[in-house]
Amino acid sequence: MMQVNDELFDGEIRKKIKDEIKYIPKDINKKIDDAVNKVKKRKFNLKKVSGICIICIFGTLLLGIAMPTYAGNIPFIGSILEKLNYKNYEKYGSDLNISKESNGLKVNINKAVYDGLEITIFYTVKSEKPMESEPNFIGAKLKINGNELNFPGGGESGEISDDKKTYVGVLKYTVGLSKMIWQNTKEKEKNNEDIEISNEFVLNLDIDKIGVGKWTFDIPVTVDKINDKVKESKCNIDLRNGYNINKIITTPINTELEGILKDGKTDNEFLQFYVLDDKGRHIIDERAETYIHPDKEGNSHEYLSYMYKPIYDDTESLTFIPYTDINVSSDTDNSIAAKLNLKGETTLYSDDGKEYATITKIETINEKTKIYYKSQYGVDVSPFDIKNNKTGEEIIAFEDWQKNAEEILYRSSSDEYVVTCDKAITEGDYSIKMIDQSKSIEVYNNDKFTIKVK
Amino acid sequence: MELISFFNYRKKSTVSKAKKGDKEAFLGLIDENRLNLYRVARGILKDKEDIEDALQNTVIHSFEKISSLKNDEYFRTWIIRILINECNEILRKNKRVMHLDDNTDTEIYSDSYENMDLTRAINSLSEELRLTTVLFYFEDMSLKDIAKILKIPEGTVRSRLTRARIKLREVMSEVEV
Repeated sequence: MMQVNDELFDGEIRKKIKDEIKYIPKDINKKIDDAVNKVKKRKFNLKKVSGICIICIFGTLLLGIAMPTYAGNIPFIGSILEKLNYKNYEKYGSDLNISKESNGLKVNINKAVYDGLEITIFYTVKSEKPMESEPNFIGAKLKINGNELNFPGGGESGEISDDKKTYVGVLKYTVGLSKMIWQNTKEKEKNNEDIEISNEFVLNLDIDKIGVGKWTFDIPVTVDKINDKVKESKCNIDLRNGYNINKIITTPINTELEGILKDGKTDNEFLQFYVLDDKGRHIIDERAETYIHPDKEGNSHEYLSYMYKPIYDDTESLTFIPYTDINVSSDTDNSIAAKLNLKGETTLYSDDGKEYATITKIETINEKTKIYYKSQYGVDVSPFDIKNNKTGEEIIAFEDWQKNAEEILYRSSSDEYVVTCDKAITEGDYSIKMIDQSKSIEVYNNDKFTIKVK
Repeated sequence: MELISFFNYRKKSTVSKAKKGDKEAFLGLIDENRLNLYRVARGILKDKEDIEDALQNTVIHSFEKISSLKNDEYFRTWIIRILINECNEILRKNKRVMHLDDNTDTEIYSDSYENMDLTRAINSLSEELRLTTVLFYFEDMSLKDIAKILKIPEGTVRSRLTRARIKLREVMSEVEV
C-alpha cells in the first residue's frame, strides 16, 4: 500500500542510485565497444532504400516547419502535449510562461492544467551549456496557498533536445486522494496535515537542488477551464472484503473511482478493476493509490483512489470487473502456447490443465485481422503474440501491448473480447503464445458492477 | 510540427537508420543508452564477468534483432528488455552451476566506486524484487512498463515494489539516505 512518504522515498532512492553510478568502468566500457565492433553491417534492399527517401522528404518538411517555430521562440507546449500523450490537456490549461533563472539554468513554467484530481505542470529548462543529464524536480516542496501538501502522488516525464540544452517536461501531482479525505472526514477527525484543496489556488513550487540551482514559483491554478466538463456521481457499492465504492469522477483528462475500506479491514488483498465502457472499449488504468488515515479517535480508514484514462465522448456507463493480485510468482517465464486453428477454436490451457483462454474466431477483412477470444481473465489475456511458424513473422508482437490494450473490445452479447491487428491471417501455419496469469491474479467476474456516467 | 516533433524525428531517424544496418547509427543508440544499460546490469548481476557478458550479448543480440523492433520510439524499452532477458539467462545458468557445485561462492563485484550502499542493497534483494526495483529506480519506468517488460500483472509489480521499499528502508535507515 502507498505510504505517506513513498513518493519522497522513491525520489531520494532514485537520486542516490544515480549518484552512486555516474560512469562506466573503463574495462566494461571496452567490452561494450568490442561488442559493437563485432556487429556486421547489413545490406540494404530496394524496398528499404525507398523507405529512406520517404524519411528524407518527411525530415525536410519537419525541419522546414520546426526550426522557424523554435527560432521564433513561440511556445512549443502543444507539441509536448502530443508527444507525451497530453494532447487532451491543451485546451484545458492556462498559459503561464513564468520564468526563473538560477545557476545558468532557466526554468519556464509554461502551462498548468487542473481538473480537480490532478495538477499537471508543463515546463521547459534551458541551459547555455549542454546539461549532463535530464533535469528533474524530484524532492521539490509543494504548497497549496502556503500549506505544505504532504502526500501528493504523481510523476515526471520529459524530453531533452539533441544538443542537451533544452528540456521540456511534465510534472504531475495527484490530489484526488487528499481532496477525498478532506471531504470525507468530519472536522473532529481531521489531522494537521489535512488541507483543503479548492478549485482555485496558488501552487508554491520550491525547487532547491544542491549544486544545481534554486527556483521558487507561485503558480496560479484553476479548475475554471475544465469545470463544466467534470462530472461527479455518488454511489454506494459494497464489494468483497469490506471494500466500498462511493464515487466516480469523470473529467476530459481523467477518470477516478473512489472508495473506502473501513477500520479494521485494511489488511485485505488489494482490489483492483478492469474497466469497460458501454461500447465495450477498455478504459486503461493509470494508477491506484490508497492512504490509511487515522482519525483523532484512533480509527484508521483506508481511502482508495483508482485513476483511469478519460472516458470517450459517447461513453454512457462504465463496468468495473474486480480482481486481486493473488500471488507473487518468482517465475517470469510462464508463457503458454498452441498452434493456431484458423478455421475453428484454439484453447490454451494452464499447466494445471484448466482452460485459460479460447480463441473463438479469426477474421481477416481488408488486411486487418480480428482475433476473438473468451477467458475469465478478460483484458489481461492480452498481450499475446501470434507468429507465422514458417516465416517467423510476428503478426502480433508483445511490443504491441499498449496499442492492443487500448484497442481491445468487449462484446457483451457473446461474452467475447476482440483484439485487432493490422496484418492478414488467411492461411498458413501460425502459433499463439500468451502469458498465463492464472497463478497471479484472481478475477471476480460475478462481482462486476456498472455505473452510469451520463 | 514544432520542436518536440523535431527531437522525435531525430530519434526515430537514428533508430530507423540502425534498423537498416547503419552501424554508426547503432553505435549512437548504444552510446545514448550505455550508462543506463550498465546501471541496470549492475543492479541485477553481482559478478563483474556476468555484467560484461550481459552487456556484450545485449549489444550483439539487439543489433541482430533490431529490424524486428516495431515502434522506433520504444528503442530504449526494447533494448532494456533484451538486457533483462540476458541477465535472466545468466542468473539461470548460475543457478545450475550452484546446484552442481554448492561450494561456488560468487564474489560480489567490487568496482572502483566507493559509495555504493544502495546498489549493494538492491543487489541483495531476491531476484524477483531486484528486477522490479532496478527498472523502477534505475530506469524510472512506470509500473505499467515494468509489467510489460517482465510480463507480469501491474498489481504484482506494485506489491513487489512495496516489499522492496520495506527492505530498502531497512537498509537505508542504517546508512541514512
